[in-house]
Amino acid sequence: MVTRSVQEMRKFVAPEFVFGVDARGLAGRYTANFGAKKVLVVSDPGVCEAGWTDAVMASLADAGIETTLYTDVTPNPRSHEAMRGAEEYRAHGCQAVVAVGGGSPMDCAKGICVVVSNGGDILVYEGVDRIPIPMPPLVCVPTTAGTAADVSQFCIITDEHRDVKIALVSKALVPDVALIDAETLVTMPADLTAATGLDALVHAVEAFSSNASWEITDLCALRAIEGVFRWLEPCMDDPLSIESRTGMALASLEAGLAFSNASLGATHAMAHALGGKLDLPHGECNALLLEHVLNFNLPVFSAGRRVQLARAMGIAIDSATDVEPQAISERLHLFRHGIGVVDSLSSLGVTRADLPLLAETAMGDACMVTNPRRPQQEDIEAIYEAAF
Amino acid sequence: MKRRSESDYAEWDELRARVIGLGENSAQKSYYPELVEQMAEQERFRALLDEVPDLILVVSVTDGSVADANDAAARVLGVPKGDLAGRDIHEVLPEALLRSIDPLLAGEGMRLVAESTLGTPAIAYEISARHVDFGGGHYVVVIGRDITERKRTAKLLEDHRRQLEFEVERRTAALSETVIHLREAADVRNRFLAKMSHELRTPLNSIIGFSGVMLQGHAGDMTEEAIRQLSMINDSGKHLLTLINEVLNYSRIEQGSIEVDCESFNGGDVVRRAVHMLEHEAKRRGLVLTERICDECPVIYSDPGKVTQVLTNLIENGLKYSSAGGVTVHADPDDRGGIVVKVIDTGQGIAASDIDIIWHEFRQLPRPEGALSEGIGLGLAISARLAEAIGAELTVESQVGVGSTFTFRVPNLEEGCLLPGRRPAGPEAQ
Repeated sequence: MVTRSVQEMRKFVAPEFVFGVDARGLAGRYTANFGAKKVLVVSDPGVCEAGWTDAVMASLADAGIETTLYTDVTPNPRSHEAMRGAEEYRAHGCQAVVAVGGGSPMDCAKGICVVVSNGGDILVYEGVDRIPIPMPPLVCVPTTAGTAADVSQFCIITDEHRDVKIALVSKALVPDVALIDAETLVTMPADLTAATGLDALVHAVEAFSSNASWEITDLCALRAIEGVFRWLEPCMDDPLSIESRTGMALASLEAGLAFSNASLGATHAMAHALGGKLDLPHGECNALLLEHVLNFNLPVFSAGRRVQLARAMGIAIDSATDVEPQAISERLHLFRHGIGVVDSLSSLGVTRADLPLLAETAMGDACMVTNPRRPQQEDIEAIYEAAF
Repeated sequence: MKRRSESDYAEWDELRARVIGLGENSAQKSYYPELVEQMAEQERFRALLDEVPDLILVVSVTDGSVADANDAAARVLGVPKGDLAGRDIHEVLPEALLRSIDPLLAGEGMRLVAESTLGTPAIAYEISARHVDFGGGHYVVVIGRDITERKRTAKLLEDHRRQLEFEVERRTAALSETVIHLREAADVRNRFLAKMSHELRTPLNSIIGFSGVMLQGHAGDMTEEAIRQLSMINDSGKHLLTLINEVLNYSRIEQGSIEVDCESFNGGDVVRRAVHMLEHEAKRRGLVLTERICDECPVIYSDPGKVTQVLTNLIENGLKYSSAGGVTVHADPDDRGGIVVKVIDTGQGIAASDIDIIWHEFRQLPRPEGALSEGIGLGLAISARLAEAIGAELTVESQVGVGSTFTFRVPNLEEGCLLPGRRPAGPEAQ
């Protein structure tokens, strides 16, 4: 494990966020305050159907703002979708972007913003800290609890020509405002609630595990882990409960703040490889891999951090000074099964022959550099094998 | 499969530093660089605006307040710099000018140009104002230009013009007076010449007549010496009479009394007659006078007396200026029914610089070496006037040392036709 120097400079970046029921109604006021008169609203057909896009556009209209709606966004958004969106933005003389939806519309919106202010192709900005010019104002109204793209410095776009998901990591990608309204979560179907909820859990665990974690990110990460274990099952049981949904929205926010500033680890690096190659759902891939990655990582944790993690997961520990790594991964395994995520990589259609290439791709992912234990490619292959 | 070494992981450490937000672009999540650029642009624009000597005011149409103004506006209107913005335009501009601008602010008309005095002491300004929309707002931009200098220049020009006009009037009056005096003088001269010529001709006729009678022997026999001397008296008298006739002729022309007396005649006959009249004179001078006259010369309608007079003048002149060789006269019909006569001499020729003076009264070119001066320099001047009177054209071509050719184009005026350029107040005039 990388030893953190006490002298190392750290920073914590978070956008302005408004948390609470009806926060979506502030979209008009915030956008007007940025001085924008025309905006591009980025959403997807599912969110439109649920009615949240109309609600946000009504708020914009009330503030006297003209809108252009862009919904050609698929799950795991493609680079050409971001490029098309940027064309729409320019063609309509927009001055800001409002994203309404889950990770896909928000990441697509970020891609659009990067191209609008920096020009060129979105794929050019792949990597860490590669975006020189800030984006136009971006207001996010998340309608899922997990991705946290509304507060994070990450943007994941699929390079459809190479079949890989590329990561853009930059402080420039942190949106200007997140309007987090738990009421928008009630229309999520159960499988989406489960996948995004587990995504939030993986964000929090990976941020806590990260070799770049520190006191502030730990605070958020542990709170988020507690929150997911406390509220995800109630959300599955009673989708309309505002209390449960608010609990998950908060957990997702905390997890987002944690991973945006501490970054992630091998689980995400490996999930990105899977998502790019086989177009698999991000939250589910993460959930399947996390327990196996922890088996690899936990031995390098200090005993104290293993105990902190176990306590956050609600594992009963009687004044113990350490906890068995096995107990933690088992808890995770049972938890995902409890909410119905029971697949393995093979049942998702991954073949053994895919594994070496997937491992090689994962080794090149930016998330891998903050994994607490520096792996060799064979270690990653072994983890894929375990989740197979 | 490649195994990663510690140095490979060093790259990961470097990447990690950037992930946690300490990379070179990560301090850039703001619009400050763009803001700085915009502020610089605004400063440049401000400097431009304030350096303009014209007064510039931007007035909001919505409430008539000054939205912006440049330094010149503040200076002229006597308001501290920066205090103009926000003020009601009605507190700032004089009432008379506002009466022009108010309709524009009310949305009537798009632009105006007016004159007004502004500031203390009052200075003349040309005010132009027009509607401009920007940033979603409606404005009237008022621009004032100091026209003191322009007005001063215009006044100077006007004064100068008046002065010139006065001067022209004064000179014209003086000239008119001079012309009257000159005319009177010319009249006096002409009357004097006519009278004198007449008075001189009477005794001269007696001298010529009686000396002629005596030479014919009617007054008895005389010695050879007496006859020789009497011949000299008779010749000198005749010469003097020619000169006096020439002067008399000229003074008549000068008085504007050329009477044209037209009739139909054969152009060739008139030319032939003129040549014939001077054959004796040519012989006397030892020169050859030849003619080449068209076989079927046209019958023309003109004044045969004037034509004859011009032709004899031209032939005589040719003879006078030729010391050897002689004069050749060609006559040909022209393509408009008239006749063209060329009088070609073998004289000394006329230099290009002298070609104009031959038509002037009392001017003569130097005679051939050794020859005596003849005449008083009126021949060509009279010929030109006579030719003009019958609508004819008289031109000369000459080459020094070779000779001169005078061309006399006599038009066929046709019966009843008027001379070209002389329009009567008749039924034809509208």
